[in-house]
Amino acid sequence: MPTSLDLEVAVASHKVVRDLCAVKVGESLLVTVDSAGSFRIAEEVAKAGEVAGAKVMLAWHSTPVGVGKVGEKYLPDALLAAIPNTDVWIEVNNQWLGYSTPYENALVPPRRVRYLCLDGLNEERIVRLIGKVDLRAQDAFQRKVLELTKQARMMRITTPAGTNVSFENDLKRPVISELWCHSPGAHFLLGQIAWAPIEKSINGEIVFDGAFYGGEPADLPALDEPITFHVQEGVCVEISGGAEARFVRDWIRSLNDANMYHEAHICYGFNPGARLSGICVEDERIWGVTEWGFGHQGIQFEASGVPAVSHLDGICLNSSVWQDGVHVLDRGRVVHPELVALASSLGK
Amino acid sequence: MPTTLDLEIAAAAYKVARDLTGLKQGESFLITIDSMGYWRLAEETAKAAEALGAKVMVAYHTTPPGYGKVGDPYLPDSLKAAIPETDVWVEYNNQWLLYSTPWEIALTNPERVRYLFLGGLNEDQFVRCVGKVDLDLQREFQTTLVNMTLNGKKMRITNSAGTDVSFENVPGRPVTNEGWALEPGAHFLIGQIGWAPLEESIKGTIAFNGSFSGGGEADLGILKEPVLFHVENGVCRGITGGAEANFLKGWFTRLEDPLMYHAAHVCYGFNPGARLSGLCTEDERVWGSTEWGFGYQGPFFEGQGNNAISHVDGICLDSSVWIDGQQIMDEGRLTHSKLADLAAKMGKQ
Repeated sequence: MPTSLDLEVAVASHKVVRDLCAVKVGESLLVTVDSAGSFRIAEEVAKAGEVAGAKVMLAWHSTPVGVGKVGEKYLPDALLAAIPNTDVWIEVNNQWLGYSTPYENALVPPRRVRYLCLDGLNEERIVRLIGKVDLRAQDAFQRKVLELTKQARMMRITTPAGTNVSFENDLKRPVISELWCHSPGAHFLLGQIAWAPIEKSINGEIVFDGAFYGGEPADLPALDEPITFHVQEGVCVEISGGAEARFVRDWIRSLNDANMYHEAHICYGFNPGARLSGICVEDERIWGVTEWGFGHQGIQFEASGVPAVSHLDGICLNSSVWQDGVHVLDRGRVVHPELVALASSLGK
Repeated sequence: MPTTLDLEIAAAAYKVARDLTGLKQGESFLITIDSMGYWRLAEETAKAAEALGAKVMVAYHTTPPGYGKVGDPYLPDSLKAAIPETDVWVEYNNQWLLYSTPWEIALTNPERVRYLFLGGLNEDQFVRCVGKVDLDLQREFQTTLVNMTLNGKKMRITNSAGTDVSFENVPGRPVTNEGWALEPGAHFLIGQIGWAPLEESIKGTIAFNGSFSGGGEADLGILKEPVLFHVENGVCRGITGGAEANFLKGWFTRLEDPLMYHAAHVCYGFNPGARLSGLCTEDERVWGSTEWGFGYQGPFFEGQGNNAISHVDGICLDSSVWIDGQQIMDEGRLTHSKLADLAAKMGKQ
């Protein structure tokens, strides 16, 4: 008996397997989903993998308490062994396995595993964020943003909520455009462009007014009040705001890891289907947001590589961005002349 | 929305995790199920294990096109890596991983993995053969019969279809007591007691009148007519019967392996819920049956270790059994007083 969005989820799942991951006949495909995740998506992705001729395994497992290494002790040993031994790993977990030890074994350095993180997506989201996206138009838009960002040295970002931060890029570091999962390494949901600025150059206020995600118990979707991180030379030296800010301050302190205050990366959000919905994967891709990560710094950024016990992400809505003084985004709307037409083709 | 047997499957699944595998808090618990298996069993067992505090993973995977090593090339690498790395493994596969390479890595000289084979069971079979079984009575019944068999020297088995076979047991060879996976190693569905007699002592006629399972085209399922194996010195010298017997005769010939004619083991079937269904795992446990295997002899029998190309199993329904001249069962009904009392309590007399 069909149920809501059955056909749309099937289409999106085939796009994931065939287009985004380019799964080939005979490859090993691992799909992981914890008990808090969407099994329907995992199942449909597994079906698409079978259609593509892969050797498919769907690992449905206990939900760890927290993300990254924090959740490790809750993971079954069979899962730890399974993750590094596959050609493609598609993660549909709610509490994501990113930056855990099996993740590191699989992806640091990348040798074999092509990893696509689709954490937290439910049926409606995978349809909006993948199924309905014109992948060619998205590719053209992201390529241009990537090209512009790779050339930019001096950056400034503001938001109506009070963000006012500036920093410098190291042109030798990679700028990662998330869309395809065609090479070994970690890849994420389409519509995100990320990089690690020169850490010590980051100064100013970063005001999270969209959402804040640190893994349970520090997942704070739909913030009541903005949380402001005051950053000096890449390190958060103060957190101000209301009750949620105080909670975050206490939570970070409870982790007993000074590296949790270190800025790890910045991202643009450019997924045409994303809305503020209460999950990090979607919120950080809302068209025109910027997102900042603190704590553990993924090796893919080829930066200082600060190790930390966990990682947090915060969303700044309606960002304005200047690259070397050129206005690229104005309160979330693309204004750079080379990008406007490409954004229009995506309905944005 | 509940569906048929939801509560019964949940109860059976909890029995599997808590009682049959003795699952403890913090242990790693792996369930494997291929896409031809019955997902509900895996899901409910995972829930039970989670409730018991285990770290649970269900590996739902591509169905390989055969059992054991035949399926090796078709298994995802993640599955191969996962199987040896767990405290408990419950298998619900339709195309079994039993005897595959990852199985061997996990269970040859087992030090960690407690493996329970429940391959091929559907929801109804799972409820009948696990959920409805009184485990305390079952354990007492099986242990009593295992001890009697271990102490028995001369055996005779007959049935109404024409079985009349006698053989000797070898002191020191194990008699398996299947149902519980409480220590590392391979364990199987409740209600089977198996051993390897002294091979050359087996002589007489074995009349399969239940079902016959040889894999592939030799999976005959429920037999229309009895198939008779005429055995001398532990070796089948002739196969007689109707059309199915004629087919098997040709099939054995085509295998071109004389070791396939060698008797490998005998088993009692004593699962109170088992019915003749065509699934070997269930049929070989039909109450009061005996089952004979020919061909490859599993190492856990500690017999002569016949290394044949394949293995077949046939079921003799409603058996009569004598141990050292004492009749313990008459056409499937227990006649030994202690066993009869226990069987009565289990609703089987």
